[in-house]
Amino acid sequence: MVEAMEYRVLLKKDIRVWVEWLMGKGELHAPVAKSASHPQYQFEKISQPDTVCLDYATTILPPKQCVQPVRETLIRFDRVANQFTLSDQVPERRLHIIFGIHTCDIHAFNFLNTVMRDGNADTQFLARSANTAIIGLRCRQHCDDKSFCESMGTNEPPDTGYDILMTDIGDRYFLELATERAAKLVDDLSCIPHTGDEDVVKWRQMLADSKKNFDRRLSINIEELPAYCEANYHSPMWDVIGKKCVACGSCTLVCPTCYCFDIRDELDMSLQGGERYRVWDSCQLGEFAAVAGGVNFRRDRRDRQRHRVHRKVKYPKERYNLFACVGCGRCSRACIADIQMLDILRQLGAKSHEFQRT
Amino acid sequence: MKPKVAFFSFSSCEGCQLQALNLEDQLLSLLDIIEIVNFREAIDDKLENYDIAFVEGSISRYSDIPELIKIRNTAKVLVAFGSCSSQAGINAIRNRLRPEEANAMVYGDRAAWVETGHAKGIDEFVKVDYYLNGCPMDRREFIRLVKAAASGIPFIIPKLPVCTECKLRGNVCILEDRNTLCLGAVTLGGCNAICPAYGHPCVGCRGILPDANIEGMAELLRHHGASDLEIEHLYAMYNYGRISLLTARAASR
Amino acid sequence: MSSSALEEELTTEYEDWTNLFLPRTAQILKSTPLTATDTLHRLRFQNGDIGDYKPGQFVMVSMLGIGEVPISICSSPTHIGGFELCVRSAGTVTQAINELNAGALVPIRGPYGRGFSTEKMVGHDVMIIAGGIGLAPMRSLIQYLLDQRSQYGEIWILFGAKRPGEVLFQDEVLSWSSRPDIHFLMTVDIANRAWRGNVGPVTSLFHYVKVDPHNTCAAVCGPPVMYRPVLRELQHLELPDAQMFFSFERRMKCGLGKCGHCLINGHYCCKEGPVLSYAEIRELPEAM
Repeated sequence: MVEAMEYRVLLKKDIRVWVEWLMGKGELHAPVAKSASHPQYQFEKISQPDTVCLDYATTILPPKQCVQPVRETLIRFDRVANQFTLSDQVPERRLHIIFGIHTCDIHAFNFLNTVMRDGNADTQFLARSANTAIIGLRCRQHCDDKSFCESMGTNEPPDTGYDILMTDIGDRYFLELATERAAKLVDDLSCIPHTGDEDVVKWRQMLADSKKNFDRRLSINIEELPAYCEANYHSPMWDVIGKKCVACGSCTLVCPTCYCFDIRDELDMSLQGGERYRVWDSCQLGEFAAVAGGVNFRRDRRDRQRHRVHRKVKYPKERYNLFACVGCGRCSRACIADIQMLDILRQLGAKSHEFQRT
Repeated sequence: MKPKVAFFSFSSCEGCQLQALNLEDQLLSLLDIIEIVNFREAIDDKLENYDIAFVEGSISRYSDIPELIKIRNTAKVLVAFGSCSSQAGINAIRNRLRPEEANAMVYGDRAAWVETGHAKGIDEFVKVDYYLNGCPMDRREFIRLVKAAASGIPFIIPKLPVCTECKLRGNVCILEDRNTLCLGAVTLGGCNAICPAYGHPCVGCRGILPDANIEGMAELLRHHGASDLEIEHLYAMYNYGRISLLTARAASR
Repeated sequence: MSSSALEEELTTEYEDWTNLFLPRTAQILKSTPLTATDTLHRLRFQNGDIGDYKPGQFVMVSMLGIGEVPISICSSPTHIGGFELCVRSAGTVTQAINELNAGALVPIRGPYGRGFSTEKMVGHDVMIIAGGIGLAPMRSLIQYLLDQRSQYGEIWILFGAKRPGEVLFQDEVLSWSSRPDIHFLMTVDIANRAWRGNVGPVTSLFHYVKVDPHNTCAAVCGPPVMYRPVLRELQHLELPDAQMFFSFERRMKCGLGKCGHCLINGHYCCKEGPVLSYAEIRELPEAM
């Protein structure tokens, strides 16, 4: 475990005070309950401190939309007769704070930052990401019945990628301050005092006790997943999945590490000006890999589902030595056809053993 | 020169024309780029020459056909305006009965006086340039189409399902959470998932996507407790053509 | 005050970076229709040069309000004073491009991707296999090789078109066919009465080919259905995997290795391709 720069505590009753103070510093996004009757949550821009809900199960959409908006202007253009002007679009320079994000989602942000820095740096993403403060939350058990974070190593925080980490230790939150920005995020607020020794002891105990709660395991060697994917490339398991899949795209849209986008143009009412924007896209949709002339390089749903899984546990592992699956379980929960990531990964592992035997 | 726009109506509730009127403030800025020459819901004057024709309603009478052809021959751009026009829509529910059976059911002993038969989308008779599907059509899409047509550039509706836009709105899935039967996964989006966003299931008014997994969808709806009859009714509301496909496939198994 | 302290933390680092999606302005110098659906456009950037590129690389061409498409550069980097794009009207953007005439301004990004490894071809015999519109990027390579003819060994051009009337760059094709320092072979799928040449797929031309496989590089571009049969022929000739280069067509939206549309398994066609050697794609089931 990486040692934090500093520890603080915050009484649960004072969360509201801190949230309100933070709202004055930047645009604060935090989980809120979507409906009173269902345990469904969503990261939203907070305007009322009371709506923040830290005791939440995985949100419907991941917090990536705070850094990568669903729709984002790339360039503006203006056409007059045969001439045109083009203008750059620079993200607004302002602080975003993502509050209460689970450690799995912090891992996901780190992955996205790696991808966006690779090769042609995606400056719009990176500018927003750099100006986003991450106040994370350590989970003490599975937050959702689909998650398998322990197997992907994401129930523990990554070494970097957050400013502050909170842990629920009963009547208060234990705060690990990891960056210089973190100190400014708590400032000298009287409600966030330095820790006493007993808090540290309790926190360490709490962390140790929590480990056993993460009991939903893949029970395969994840390092072998790229090889398992390779071995099962033509497995009939993909036919079964392809038959079930209705290609709604939900699994990718709710994934915290998916970053595919489409680019479209739209004219203003003047018909002269307009913008080119990007919008989240999904490799599960029929036209995603289609080119002119009726050729589609992933026409079958089977191939598209396999592609999704390989993009989570094979290709990024080979390219960045990172998994793009953080085990959050969102795709499994969003799937109306009951296609479960945990099952797929287990099947990949199990079927490979069979292949090896025969 | 601003392109001249005309609206026409066949078998329909004229709700799509009403939607265009409902644009209110944006209607005025639309009038900066187009000239409306024929719009029964809004103006009395009519002009017989126009560039863009929005045709609402399905074709259910032989006498409609010459009129439709005349519109096609006049307009440079012909738009199927709403579900009735694009795919015969809700009117096609009657197509499961023989025309005289349906007429007798509705008009009783005056059935013989009424000229009406099976409802058909307008593309069964004329070439359609663009489809503005939906019941009613989507106003933002309408504006996008008018902008494209007025500047002579093609109008494209990305082939995404309703689920995509529903997810991107961060909606709670009504199928998963309330077990409300919803066709969002197989229905063409573009409506910004307006029905599920307000708690109503998608009933497929914008048409079933061409490559939709109809069998898979039926299977998962059954898994959510739907009977085959319920599934059939769900599809039949706006996609009677596709449901016959479904039953044909089931019969062949 | 702490608020300003947090503001000081805000980075401005990326604000000075170039927006990768911002095109430069090019002007069409000349537009020449080649066939009913293909037009050759000669262009030049208004400010500055296109820069260094390899045959096989592509640019993203914009029609503002409609969209952007990837188009291979079909002229050689050795030809100065502009660059050429051969555009087939296949979709909304390409149709709009082909309606443009000389003088029109066009927003263009790029060049992008990895082209043909011409260094590797130096001292080798080169076999060029093109089908249909696949001749466009190959023309860049052919011009490049011919401009430095002495550096390469034998040059074979195997070209297949659907019909005689759909042959692109007809004047150049004729000049290649009459050059003594090129083995030029051509075939059409569907002949007309006047056609006296070969009829059949491009693979039928391999019958006439005699090369020393170890000293030969092959470059292939054509419709997707062409790749497997051509690969089989090249393997039959026993060319080493690393000396067979294929130029791939995929849907590309960003050209920057980000948007995900062009992935061939885990390889970005726009960034690691569009030209990849068979050694690189041998293990990729989605390549062919």
